[in-house]
Amino acid sequence: MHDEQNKDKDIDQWLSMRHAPQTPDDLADRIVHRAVRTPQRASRAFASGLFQEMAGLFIVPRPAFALAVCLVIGVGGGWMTTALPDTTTQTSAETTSFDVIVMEEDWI
Amino acid sequence: MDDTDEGLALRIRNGDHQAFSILVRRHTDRFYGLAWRLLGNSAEADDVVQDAFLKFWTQPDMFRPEAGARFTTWFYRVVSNLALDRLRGRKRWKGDVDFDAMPDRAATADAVYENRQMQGHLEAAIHELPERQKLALNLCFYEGMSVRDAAEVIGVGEKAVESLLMRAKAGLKEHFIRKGLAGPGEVQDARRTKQG
Repeated sequence: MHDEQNKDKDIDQWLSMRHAPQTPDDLADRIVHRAVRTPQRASRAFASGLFQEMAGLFIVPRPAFALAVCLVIGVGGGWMTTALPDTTTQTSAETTSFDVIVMEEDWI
Repeated sequence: MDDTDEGLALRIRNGDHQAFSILVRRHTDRFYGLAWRLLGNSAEADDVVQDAFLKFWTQPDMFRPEAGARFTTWFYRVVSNLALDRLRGRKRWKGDVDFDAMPDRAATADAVYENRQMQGHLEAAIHELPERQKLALNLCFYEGMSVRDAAEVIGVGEKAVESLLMRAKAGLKEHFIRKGLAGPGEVQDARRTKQG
């Protein structure tokens, strides 16, 4: 245990002998000068804000209620369509062609 | 005016060059040190620090102080990611530590030579470590970060950082034993005996 601690101390001593070189004196200046010449990109916050605004147009305030209303309208509309009497009327041309077929094929 | 890092970061969002200048001058040394320790090369460390600050300048809203983030912790992550990307691109550590740029604290030429040799061994040993162990060691030992902050930078849990540190030290120990190197204590004792 004591030996382990000594070894750890030794490693720490080794590590503390490591020194980084001094930062170049002009590094900060170079960074600042390059930044002056570099334009900032359009804020992503603006882009995401615009996107959120657009998406907001499609947001349904009460989705459950809206779904229920859509279902009622859909079912009601469908029921009304099937419940209506068949109002399709045959045109005279259709009647004639039907008669011709019946006569020729000798169906009846 | 709010001159905290986070306050300056908010001003930078509005294109405030002065705020950027303050932030750069305040932190260049610290981040250059980290980049150098990860890369072992002055020119590359210089590039990484420049790239990191310019990236922040061009896209300042990448950092979100509103979410309670600390600038230094976040920027440590940016710098270490850029440095590690370079290391991966490089595949192997070049072993070309620029000793001339490093401070010599020894008095005699012999001692300077010995120190450089030891630093060379140490650099080689550290750069042989897996990248996350190396990063944990640099953050906790050299940057003086708490395990908690280091965990945030590396993106792992605190236990994982402790384990990375332990494994890093074990790896270094193994390297020194493999190379038959004496510990610095022994070297210093030998030097003292020689001088005495």
